[in-house]
Parts: sequence; C-alpha cells; structure tokens
Amino acid sequence: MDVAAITIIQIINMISMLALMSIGLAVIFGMMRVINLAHGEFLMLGTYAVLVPAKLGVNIWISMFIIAPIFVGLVGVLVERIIVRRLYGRMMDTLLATWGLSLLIIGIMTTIFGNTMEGVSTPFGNFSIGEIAESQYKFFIIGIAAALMAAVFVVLKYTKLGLIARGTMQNANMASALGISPSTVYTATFGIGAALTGFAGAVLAPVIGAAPTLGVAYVAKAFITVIGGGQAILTGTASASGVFGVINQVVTYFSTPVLGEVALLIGAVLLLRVLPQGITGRFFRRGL
Amino acid sequence: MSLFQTRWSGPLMVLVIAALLLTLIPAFAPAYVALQLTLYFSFGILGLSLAWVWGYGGIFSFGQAAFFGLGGYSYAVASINLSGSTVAILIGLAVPTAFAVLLGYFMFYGRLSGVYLAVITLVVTLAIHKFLGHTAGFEYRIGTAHLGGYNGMPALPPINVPGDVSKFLWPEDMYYATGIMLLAVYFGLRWLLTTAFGRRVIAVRENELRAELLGYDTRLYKLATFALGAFIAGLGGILFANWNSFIDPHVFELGFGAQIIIWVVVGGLGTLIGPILGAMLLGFAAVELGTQQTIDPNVILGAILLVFVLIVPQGVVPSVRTVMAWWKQVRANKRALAAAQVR
Amino acid sequence: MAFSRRRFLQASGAGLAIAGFPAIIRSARADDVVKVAAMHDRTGSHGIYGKEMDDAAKFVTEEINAAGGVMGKKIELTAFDTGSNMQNYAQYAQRVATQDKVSVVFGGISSASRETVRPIFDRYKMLYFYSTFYEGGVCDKTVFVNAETPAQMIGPALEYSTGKYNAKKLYTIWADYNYGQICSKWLNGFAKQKGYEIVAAEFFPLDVSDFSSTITKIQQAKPDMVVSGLVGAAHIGFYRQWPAAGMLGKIPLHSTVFGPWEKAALKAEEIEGLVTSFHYFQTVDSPANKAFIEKWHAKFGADYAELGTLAVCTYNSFYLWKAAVEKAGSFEREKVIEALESPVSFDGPGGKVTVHTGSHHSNMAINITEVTGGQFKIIKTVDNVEPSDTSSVCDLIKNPNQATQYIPEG
Repeated sequence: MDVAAITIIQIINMISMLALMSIGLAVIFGMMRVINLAHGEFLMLGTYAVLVPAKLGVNIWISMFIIAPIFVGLVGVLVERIIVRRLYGRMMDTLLATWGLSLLIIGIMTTIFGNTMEGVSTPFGNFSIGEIAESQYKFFIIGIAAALMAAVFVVLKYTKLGLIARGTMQNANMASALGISPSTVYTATFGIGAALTGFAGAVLAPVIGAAPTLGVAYVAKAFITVIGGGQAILTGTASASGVFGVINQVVTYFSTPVLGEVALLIGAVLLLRVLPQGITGRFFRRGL
Repeated sequence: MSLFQTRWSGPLMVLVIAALLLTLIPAFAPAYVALQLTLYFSFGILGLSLAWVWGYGGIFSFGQAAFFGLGGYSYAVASINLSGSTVAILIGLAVPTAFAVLLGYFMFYGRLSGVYLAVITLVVTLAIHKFLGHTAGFEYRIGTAHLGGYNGMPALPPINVPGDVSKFLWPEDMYYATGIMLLAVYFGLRWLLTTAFGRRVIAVRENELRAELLGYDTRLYKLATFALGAFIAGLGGILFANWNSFIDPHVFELGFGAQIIIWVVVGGLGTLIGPILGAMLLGFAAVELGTQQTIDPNVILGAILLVFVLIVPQGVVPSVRTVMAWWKQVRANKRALAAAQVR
Repeated sequence: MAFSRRRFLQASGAGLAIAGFPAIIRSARADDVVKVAAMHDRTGSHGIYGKEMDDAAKFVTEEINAAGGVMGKKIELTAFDTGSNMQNYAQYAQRVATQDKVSVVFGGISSASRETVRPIFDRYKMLYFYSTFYEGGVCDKTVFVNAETPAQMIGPALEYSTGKYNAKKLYTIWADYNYGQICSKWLNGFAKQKGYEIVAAEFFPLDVSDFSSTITKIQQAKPDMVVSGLVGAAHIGFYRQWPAAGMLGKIPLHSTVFGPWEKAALKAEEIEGLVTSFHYFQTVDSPANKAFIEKWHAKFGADYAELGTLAVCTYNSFYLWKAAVEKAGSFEREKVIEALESPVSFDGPGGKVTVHTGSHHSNMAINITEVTGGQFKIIKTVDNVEPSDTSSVCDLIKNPNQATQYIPEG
C-alpha cells in the first residue's frame, strides 16, 4: 500500500517534470513552427541561474522565480533577433543553426564553469508514508507544473496577449493586416518560451543539479513530448507528458531506469507511427 | 582531349588525383598520417551516406550514426564469434540495412516527413545509445562476444583475406582497403545518379506529389534510398571498427551524429565530394582541437555550424562552383569585349 | 601498389609534420632529453578527474627536471588532452608510438580508454603506466598499474565500516559499466568469505541522475548498510536525494569510490558520516604530504581544488619509472621492466607504494576515512595492501607472454 502510494506520487512527479521541461519548447514550436535544438541549453542556463546567485548568497526563491526566467528570457530574445529571425520558413536551417548555438553555449559554459556537476540542495524536508520516506520537493514540482499549465491556459484563453498569439498562430498574414506586427509577436513568443524553459530549469535544479552538458539528456525527451503531443500547445504537452510519464515510471519500477527511458523513446516512435499528427491531431482537437 | 570533355571528365580527374594521393602519401608522410587517414576515409564513407540520403533523397536523417554504429557492432560481434572476417563483414552490412528497412517502413509508410523524420531518427539513435550503455553486465553476451556497455568492445580480430584466416590485413593494408572503398562508394553513387533509379530518387526529393501522380510509389523509393544510405554507413562503421579494433557506444551519441551533419552542411548539400572533404578536414580539425587546451572544442564546432548556416548555407563546394562560374563568365565577357575592340 | 611494410614504417621518420601543437614542456636540446607522453581527459565527461592528473604530470616533470632529471636527462613531456573520447586515445596512442617515439606513456582514465590504448602499446612495444583506480585484472607485460584495485579500495574499508555498524545485510548500488560490474562480482566473493549477505545489486548507467525509485526500494529492503559504487557527475544525484528523502543517519552509507571530485559537488551535511577509502587524501597527516601540498599550491595557486588519489598516483608513477630507469641504468623498455619487477618502491605523499612483481600492480598504503564536517577524516592507515584480486591470478614472471584482463568468477 505504501509502495503503491509512493509509486503513484513518482508517476505524477515524472509527468510534471516532463510537462515542465517541454512547455517552453511547445510554445515556440506551436506558435512559430521553429525547432529549437538549443532548448536543452536554455534549461541548463536556468539551472545555473539558480546555482550562481545561490553561491553569492541570493535567496533561492528569488533566483528561481525572478532571475532565471528573466535571464533566460533575455537570452531567448537575443537569439531570436540575431539568429532565428534570419531563418523563418527554413525549418531545417533553423534546426541546424539552433544546434550550432547549443554546441556554442555548452562550450562557453564549460569554459566558464568547467565540466563538473554542481548542485543546489533541495529545499523542504521529507515526508513519510508508512515506512517509506520521500522528498517534499516532489510535491512542489507537481504544484508548480500544475500552476504553470493553468497560467498558460488563462493567458492564451482570456487575455488580449493570448488572443493576439492565437491569431498570429492561425494566420500570420491576417494578423499582420489587422495591425499586429508578427515580428514583435515572434520575438515575444521566443522570449516567453525561453523564459518558461529557464524557469523549468531553475525549478528542476535542486533535483537534477547543474552541469554544462546537462541539456543533452533532456532535449530528446522534451522533443518527443512536444511532437508526440501535436499542434495544441497545452493539451498536447499535458497529454503526451501523461502518456510518456506513465510508460517511463512503470517500466522503471519493474526493471531499471534505463529500460524505462528506452521504453519511453520506443513508445514515442510507435505513437508517431499510429498518430503522425501527435495525440492532439486525433484527440482533444479543440484543445489549446 | 575529347576524353576531358565528356561528362565523366570531372569524376575521371577526381579518380586520377585520388589514386595518386592514395599511393604517394605513405611514401612521403609519416606512418602516423596514413593511420589517421584510414580513419578519415571511414568518416568520408559515413559523410557520403548522409550526402546521399539527405542531399539526393531529401530525407534528413539523424540516424546515419546509428547505422554506422550498428555496422561496427554487428561486425564486431560476428567477427569475434566466427573465424574469419568475410561472413562478419556481410553481417555487418546486412544488419544496419535490415534495420533501416524496418525503421523506414515505419516512417515512410506512416507518411512521416521533414522534422518528424529528424526527430524519430534522433530518438532511435539515442535509444540504441541508452541500451548499449546498459550492456556492461556479463549476461549481455552474443555467443562469445561481450557487448561491454560504455567500455565498448576492444581487441577485435583484424580483417583477413577472404578464405584465408591466417592472412590478415595490417594497418597499412587497411589504409589502402579503406581508401579504395571510399572511392568505390563515391563512384558507385555517381553512377547510380545517372541511372533511371537515381533520377527518380531526385524527382521524389524535388516534388513528391508530382512523382506520385506520375505513378511512382514514392514510399518505396524513399525506403530504398534510406536503406542504401544505411548500407553505406554500415560499411563505414565496419571499417571504423577495424581501424583500431574497437567500437564503443560513443558513435551513437548526439555529438557524433552532429558531426556528420556538420560535414555535409560545410562541404555542401547536394554534392558528393563536399561531404567527403568536410568529413576528412573537420575530422582532422576535431582531433587537432583536442591538442590545444585554450578553447573548448564545442565552441569552435558550434561557431562553424552557425556561420555556415547563416552565411554560407550552400556549403563550401557549391559556393566554390558558383564563384568559379562567375569568374569564367567575367573572363569570357572580357575576352568578348577585347575581341570586339580589335574588330 | 606493392608497398612493403618495412618501407611504410621507415617513412615514418621524415616528411610532413601534420601534427598539432600540444602542450610540450621543452627544457633542453634534443639529445639531453627523454621524451615522455601523458594522456588525460582534461575536458569532456572525465574532465573532473583528468585535470588534476594532467597537472600532476606537469608538476612532477618540473620537479624531476629541477632536481637534475632522470639519469641526467631532462624529461620532455608531451601532454595530450584526450577529451574523454576513445577515438582521441587511439589516435594519440598511435602517434606517440609511431611518430613521437616516446620512452614511456602515462595516462588513461576510464577502463575503456586503457583498453583502447593497451593493444596499441602492446603492438608497438611501449612501456605504459596506468594510474587510475579501476576494476583490476589487467595482466600485461608492458603495462604497469599504479593505482587501487577492488581488493585495495574496498576490502580494508568495508571491514572497518561493517565492523563499526555491525552490518551483515548489504544493499549494493553500482555504476553500470565494467568497473561496477566487476567490483560487484569481487564483492560477492569477499562477502562469502566474510559472511555478509548481499541483498541486492543494482546497476545504473552513468547518465541516470534520478534515484528516487531506488531509494524507495532500499527502504523496503531494510539493509544494515548501503554500499555505493556510483561514479561520475550524474550519479552525484544519489548523494543529494538520499538525505533529501530523510535517509541520512538511518541507514549507514559506504562508498567504494568517493573522492574530492564528488565531495566538492555536495554540501557537508549531505554526506556526514560516509565511509570511503583510497590510497591518498589531502588530509593525510605527514611531513611528506605537507611539503607536497605546499609545493603544489606554490605552482598552481592556493585555491586549487582539493587533491585526490588520482593526482598522487600519477605523481608516484613518474617516480617509480624514474627509480627503475636509474636502477637499470637504461631507458630501454626490457631493462626498465626488469628493474620495475625487481621491485622498486617510492615513498609518496600518501605513503609507500611498491611494484608487485608478478602482477605489475602496486602494493600500497590505504587510508580509510569518514566524512566529518565536510572533511575526509582519516580513521586509519593500512600499509602495504596487496592487489590480491589481480595478484592471485596474474603472474608475469612465470608467464610473461600475457596481454589480457582477468575477470573474477562468481
């Protein structure tokens, strides 16, 4: 019984982590059809945006909720202005350029911080169910993921910003004719996507640590979550995180973490064979 | 004179120059250089496989590294289990090809294209990497071959002359064998592109819908293109595994797969010679970067990729061709002008 | 295209120097020097281990040269950064063997890197020193291992910790590669001998960083002690998640590989009480170590990261080689090997090391520590520990034509 409860918490935690690390990518991909291969590095920058201020004595919550999203968001804006902007409509070239960017960021961070894994200790204590103890931070991650998804939903659905974003997504030319500058929207979208990713990295930092090469381990997972989810930003990310999180954690429990990840990856390939448009290409088609 | 004016004049020149270099280099350069070149030849073959699949088939595959690695691994397993390398080589070619047929069936008959292909081939490569990294346990044996996890499989038996197990190829023989293989693949692809099949593959790349409306089964052509690419990458992998008698999972890493794409982008998409040059020069550069300790190699690789995509998106070889054509035109104009003045 | 093998090799002397520009410490004219190569991963995934080894090679070269060199010849060191990439190892090994023609090679970090270069050094008959703790079993006439094997690294410390905590039921977690797999096998044998019960042996690939399901499994199994053989940057996560789950102090933790590299990434309170052992820790309290550290800090700065056994084993290896060359009165490989086997020994910062004649490994002092207030507090030093896992199966005097790695039964 205790084990079942803990396992369920771990599954929900895994789903939340997948959703957190993918939502920024989903925003960028969903709105702009841009494949950002430097996504993992944005996540990594987010972890450092917690680690470095923490070393200087800055409160961890300030870095997590303020410094990390702003810093990585600004990086995103710069990247859009300098690189991505020149390549709109050239999907493959964007993919290659952001990949070059990813290598560049890894290289620069390695030069500055060295190739070491550093850590921030986990805030909060732990809790017990029966005889088994677990970290309370897991609940924090689950809560943050849920809050973030809700926030994205509210913004997209009820605000003017969300309306503009959805309009541009559906028909950029029409939006432009109505006096909205797609260029500004794209810059803002990329910046927001990057900020969300930086925030996710910051929230995950106490669990995954910070290392220059960290992004590589997460980029593939984030990608298949987004592509497996399909067009709709929110329902896509949520449903794909759900499916892949369950596959990963269940297989991990019965075998090993590696086979869990392999199962996740194979599951993604099978899913795309059955649903080439992703989950939301078939189900929840009216979702956001 | 007339020989040089046919459409084979270019390839013929390449053949003559390549054959000269291949025989002359060991005579004048240190043994080390020939040993290194053997490696870069195998990379050249790998570069060609992506040049074919992406440049002519229009299929952006992250998975050439996976086929390269599968070729190397299946050859390694087979050569440890069997006496003699001939059958092992055939197995090393068959496994990646069969795997590509299976994967390609999934993708092309599922009508996936573009970035979806990129992501699926990437994911499959990473899944194989994960799995092979997991095989350090002693239960992961195929016959007498231990897969060895991250440590890979060291001390593979060398390639031998078909039918005579005792006569095996020395590293310097491997230099010639690998170089000749590279030339064979290069000319094989050039020939293939002149056939009806080659033209149809290009037609599918140019406009899939039109090719389909003309009655060609584009799925089948894409599958064949993909499988041939895997076959070539597998050949490269076998030669790579032989180069230092070892293979390990790093060939399935993101970074290794990235390299191949950089070779093609830098050398020039849609050419065959470009990716070979890209593979050899950048492969060499990557090693030399390791001997300097000031700049992280990733910074340089990343910068190269960014610069090429943003500034020289065509790659080096097509750009050089453009410049040469422009120069020819300028000279022709000048000559015409001079002639007009004389008159 | 007939081209003889001999001419091919002869050609290696002259011609195109296509080589790069590695860090070479030049100190004298060509005939007054002896060429030595070092290969360590300063960058890439093993960079955290490689940096101090590479620096140690440069440090010891300077020290030996300042004291007059080896038999009057200054060492000319070529230090390669192998970037944690096996292909680089293979390429540089071929280069030092066929082009640079060095007298001896020091280096290699992961077992994979050692197994990559070993066949090359066998083929070209190059003397090679490996100075990284590893799973044991290498038995090769041209290779000398001057670093801890499982019998040295795990045996004495585990006897101490199991005694202290009266532990019989051990839950073991390992990095999933040769090192972990072989150590686990070795521990099975050791457990039988000592009467421990191994309740579980779990293996984790090097990139796994989430250990929550394992921590759950451990809590269900209720062992007396957890023995960790986790390695590398991602596995640090375990030492962070263990206290986060409230397990610190509830079940004692013993690590078979835990050096300053791992410690630097963790907070003191996260690892309080962890038992571990190596040949060397910076906290070793001896005049020799004090002098060594002072000199090191004078060269690299006082803010240099805490040194570990890797730097000191590399340092010791150079001196073992120097002692053997001087004993043999020659740089020739066969004579130096004979002198090393005779055997030679060296009193280093961590205590005495002596070449084990039959196995080409080293008998060495082992320091057992408990992490206390973020420091490796030395509990006791066991002198002259034999690499019994390897020395029991490998005898290169009786059977010199070996170039293999033994794997324990069980």
